[in-house]
Amino acid sequence: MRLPDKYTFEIERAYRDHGPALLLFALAITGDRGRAQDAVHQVFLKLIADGARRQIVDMKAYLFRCVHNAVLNEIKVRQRSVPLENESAWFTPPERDYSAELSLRRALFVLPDDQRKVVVLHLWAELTFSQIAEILEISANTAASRYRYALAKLREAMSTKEDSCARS
Amino acid sequence: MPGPDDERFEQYLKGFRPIAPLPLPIKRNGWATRRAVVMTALAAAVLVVAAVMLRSRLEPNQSSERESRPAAAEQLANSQPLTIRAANAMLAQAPSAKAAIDSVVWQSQKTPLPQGKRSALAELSKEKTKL
Repeated sequence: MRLPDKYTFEIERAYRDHGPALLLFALAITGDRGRAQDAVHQVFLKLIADGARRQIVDMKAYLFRCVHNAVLNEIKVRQRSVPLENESAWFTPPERDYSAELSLRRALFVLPDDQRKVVVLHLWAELTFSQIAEILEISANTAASRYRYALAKLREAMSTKEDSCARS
Repeated sequence: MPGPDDERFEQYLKGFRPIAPLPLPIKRNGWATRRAVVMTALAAAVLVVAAVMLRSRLEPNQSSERESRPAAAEQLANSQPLTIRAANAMLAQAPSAKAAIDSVVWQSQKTPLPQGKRSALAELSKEKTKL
């Protein structure tokens, strides 16, 4: 079947706009760049293959929900949890501060999965707590409280790291 | 409620940009490329048609101008003696220098000579020059 190109262009634009945050979200769950990349690609390729048959109200939230499901399905298939990869960068840091990038990644690494997901969705995907609640199938209040805890932990972890760097 | 320090920390964290994923592994179906080619060809065709129409509209005017120029030269040649000024005016009006000279030459032959005068050209043509 020939694809409707306008729809494909829309999907490609969504990929350009939300791809980095989606990849980060998948990375935050799988901890593995290859698997995260595969999950994001799988979602977009399926969307393109399905064509413009679905009526999607909130495309951004829908994409994050799809990536979340794809990653969870993949984990179920593998029946094992892979430790978060600690080698490749997740972010382009401000002012090329790669030690801060590593520090942030490690801080995210030690967060509980649920909190890591929320903080990624709110900070870098710029989703509201209502949207996050819908994606993760939790209440908006739960999402907000997880976010606050996560932020406090991140801050503590990063400031501890900075302090130890300053002392050394 | 997040305090100002929280907000500053959030802003700091937002300064870290997530790395972009690899490009989607999809094949272009070529439809967009073909559409671009067709659109370009259509635009070119429209331009050619417009140019032809414009030219056909301008050409009658130009040809009527061309026709009027020899007429002016002829009139000039008939009405007054050929001076440098008149010749310059004729050259300016004529479509080409050759056309201007031709009109003067052929017109001057038609003009009757005054009584008792002979045409140098006619006299020269009578001479039998041996080469």
